[in-house]
Amino acid sequence: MEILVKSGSILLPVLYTLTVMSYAGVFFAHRRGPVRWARPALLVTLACHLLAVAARAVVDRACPVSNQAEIFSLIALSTLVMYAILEWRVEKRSSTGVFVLFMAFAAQLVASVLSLDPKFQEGETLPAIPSLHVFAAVIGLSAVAVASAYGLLFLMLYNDLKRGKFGLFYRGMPDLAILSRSNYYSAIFAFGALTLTNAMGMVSLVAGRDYNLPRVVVAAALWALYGVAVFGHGFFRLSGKRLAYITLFGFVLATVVLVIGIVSGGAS
Amino acid sequence: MTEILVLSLNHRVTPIEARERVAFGHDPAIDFLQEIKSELPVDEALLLSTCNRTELYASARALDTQLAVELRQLFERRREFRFSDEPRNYLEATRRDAVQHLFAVAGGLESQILGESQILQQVKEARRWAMEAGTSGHVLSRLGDRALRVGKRIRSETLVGDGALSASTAALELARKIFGSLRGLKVLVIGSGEIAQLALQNLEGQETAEIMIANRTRARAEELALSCSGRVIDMDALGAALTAADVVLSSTAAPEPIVSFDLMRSVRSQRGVNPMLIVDLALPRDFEPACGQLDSVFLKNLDDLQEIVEANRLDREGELPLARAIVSAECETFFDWLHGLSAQPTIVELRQQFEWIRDEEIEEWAAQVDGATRVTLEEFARRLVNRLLHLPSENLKRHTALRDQETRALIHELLTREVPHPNATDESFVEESLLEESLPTESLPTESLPTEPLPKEPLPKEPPAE
Repeated sequence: MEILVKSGSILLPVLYTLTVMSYAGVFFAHRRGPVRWARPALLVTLACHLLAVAARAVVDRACPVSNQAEIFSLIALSTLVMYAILEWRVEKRSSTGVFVLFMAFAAQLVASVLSLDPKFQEGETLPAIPSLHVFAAVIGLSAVAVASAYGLLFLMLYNDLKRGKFGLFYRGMPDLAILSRSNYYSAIFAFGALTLTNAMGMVSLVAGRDYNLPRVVVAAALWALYGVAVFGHGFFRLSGKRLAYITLFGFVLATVVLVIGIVSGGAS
Repeated sequence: MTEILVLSLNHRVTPIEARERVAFGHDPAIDFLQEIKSELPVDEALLLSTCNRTELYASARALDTQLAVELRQLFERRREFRFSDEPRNYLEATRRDAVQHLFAVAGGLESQILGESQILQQVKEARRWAMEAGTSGHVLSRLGDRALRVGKRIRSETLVGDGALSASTAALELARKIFGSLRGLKVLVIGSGEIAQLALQNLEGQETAEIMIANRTRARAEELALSCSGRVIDMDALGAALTAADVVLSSTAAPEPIVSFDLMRSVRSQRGVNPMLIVDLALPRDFEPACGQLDSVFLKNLDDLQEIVEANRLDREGELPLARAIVSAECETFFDWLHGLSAQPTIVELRQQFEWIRDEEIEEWAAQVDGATRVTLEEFARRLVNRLLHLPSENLKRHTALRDQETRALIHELLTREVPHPNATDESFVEESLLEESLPTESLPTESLPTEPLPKEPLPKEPPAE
């Protein structure tokens, strides 16, 4: 098990690199051939990462969210899972993979670098509720990142179409409807995870656990913003363009939450 | 070995007036193919006739310049057409070049519109004609199959057939880029000119929710609406139609814009957030350019579409090396098969010999065993012969040396004829010895095989002479 955990921190960035490269091939080479490599690469990386996380959980006998290295690794994994679901259910063309998975690759790279330093491997093993709070927050923040990536891609394609720029980006991207749907579904995912995060946070507060007020306020604002995005688009005809802007602004808020967390003594 | 020849009159070398004269329909094609088969020393013939090409493929055991000349003469007798070398108004290719040509044609690489897919249907039709005429055999039938396979591979593995290459299809490509598909969309066509008709043709089978047609002359709009199950809209009700439409294709001959910015702004406010694509194909334009500034309104004109078409054309051309590589690889595969065919007589003869020996041995042993054992014995012998012959047969088919006529003859003789052994006094002794040797060799390296045949009683009967 220990070997699995240790080899994971070296093997995973390599696998993520290969996956991102395969997806870059799909987008930039603009050919059908690389699609054959991209999906298997995604699935292999996903399987290996799940195995590594499971091994870590077995070794530590706890949810692997106790230090920054583990949290970044979990961000990478949840981004990967979310992209896999969206590609399977919505996009089917693999052409946005390079953009979304690059974030997962960056998170895993940070996780692997941090795991080399024993200082970043230390951390307290949290009880169940705070563990679930951190776990849901990690997934929520990953979903916010994915939603914002799709929001950005939507706006870029929208502007290209408006201005009549029919270059590489126009040819490589799926249609606006798919980008908007991916944007919306990832926003729903983010909203769900943030709701769970905030609920667990409230339970922790009631139990008398320490909290950081600015972070709580920004996190609540982020949750409310995604609520507006999800219900506005789903029930009140909020346009795809506005949804994209909201999710992008949400990413800014999520970054603020993370920064406050790190400054105040831990990503969680 | 069978040779292949193509005589092609195509858009690259043959002027349109000539192509018109040499185009074939179903019945004349069948007649012509049958005439070729009956009058010339060809084994098979296939005729491909499209608006851009008429091509005759023939296979024959001996291919010489005389055959090509006779084919051309036959062609000239049938059609009012003269083959000319100055300037050359036809293409003639043989063997590998001929096969590569057909594969490139099927892949759309020789088409006027690079990568167009209609040619695949036309190749299928050419095969059907040849079958009906009774001029399709092993070789051209296989060639046709491989050509279709090449066409499909090129379209699925490269982007040669991707992207719109005309203004009306580029408009639909744009619509798909915004809405995903045209399914369930409401389309408004303004004007009833040639461009509008083309656009409506392209909308066929797209499962649009509704097609509305607005035109100053109502009768013309009604005519168009009939052809596409559309609904006619009065020009006075254009505002309401614009509000309902997701895609607008406009191509009137109006000297001034027919849709102002103010009208579009009001339409936009009534439509809400739903995106709208307006393709203004008219010159002068039908929509004021400012309409494109409205949120969720994508206004595109002929220049925009031309840019898409140009980018697609470059994309397709960029895929040509990949497509050509597929053609070359498939050509190799075809010739491997064709060369394998030349080993067929040797394989058949070899098998007949083995089966003759097998039957003789079974007959000899049959009297000594009961019925059930005989069945087992027969099955055993059948499987043994099959296994023994499998590898040599496959190697014979594959071996590149067989492309050489002399080597082929030598191998044929070595494997199927009685070869006098230097130390043997009896021919059947040699044959029997070789047979005996072949049994244990599967597990032995070639070097360890005994060089001298083991003595054994000769076979009771000689194999039948071939």
